[in-house]
Amino acid sequence: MWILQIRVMNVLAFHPLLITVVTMIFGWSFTLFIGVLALVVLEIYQLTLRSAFMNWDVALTQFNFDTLPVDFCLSVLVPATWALCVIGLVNRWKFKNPFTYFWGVGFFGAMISCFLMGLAAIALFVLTGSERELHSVKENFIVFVVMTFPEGFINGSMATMFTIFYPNIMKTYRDDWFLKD
Amino acid sequence: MNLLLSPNNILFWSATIIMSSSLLLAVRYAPWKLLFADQSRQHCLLQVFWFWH
Repeated sequence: MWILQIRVMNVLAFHPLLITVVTMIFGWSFTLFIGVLALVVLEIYQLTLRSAFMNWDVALTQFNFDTLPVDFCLSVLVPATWALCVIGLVNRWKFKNPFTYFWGVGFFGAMISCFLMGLAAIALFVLTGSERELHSVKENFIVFVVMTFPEGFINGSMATMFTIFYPNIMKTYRDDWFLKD
Repeated sequence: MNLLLSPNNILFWSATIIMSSSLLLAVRYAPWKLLFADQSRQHCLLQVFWFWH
């Protein structure tokens, strides 16, 4: 196994989103603000990370927010909007069970959001004629599929924990409706 | 997902327009009063933060 050579293209990077569970707790609007804040913190963190391997001057020249709008659209707006749609669907479903909330939204919703993120990336890059990014996403699209399970597991377990132990903080959870009967 | 290379102009401005309009919508429809009134949610998040650290 250790002989395997793995090369990662220096074009795209992935990190756990957790946007689904944040949307479940805070709602769509606040999730967008939290997402912007997280991306800014991530950029500052990358600056300190780069400075460990190169000079501060070189690291500072690479410090810019050019990619922030694209990152926001794909990794915050798409999963948050998808989570909002799934929450709306689950809360209006005739089958009433809390499992449909934290498994349906937290687990399966997050899994599908990861896949949707890849499709949205392809659509955005095709519409804007970004050949380089499009080629990279197409070449590494399997990563989006592979990421679906860990994303669903992390979001689902956190959503379950919060819904069971702290149901009052889940803004989108309607316990009066789910537990009415 | 993080883009590690600078995007072209069309991609950058398209994404900026989408980001700005969605953030404006979020500012308009955010339940600000609910956030500041709900003490239990703030308290719980502080507890979780303390547990992780």
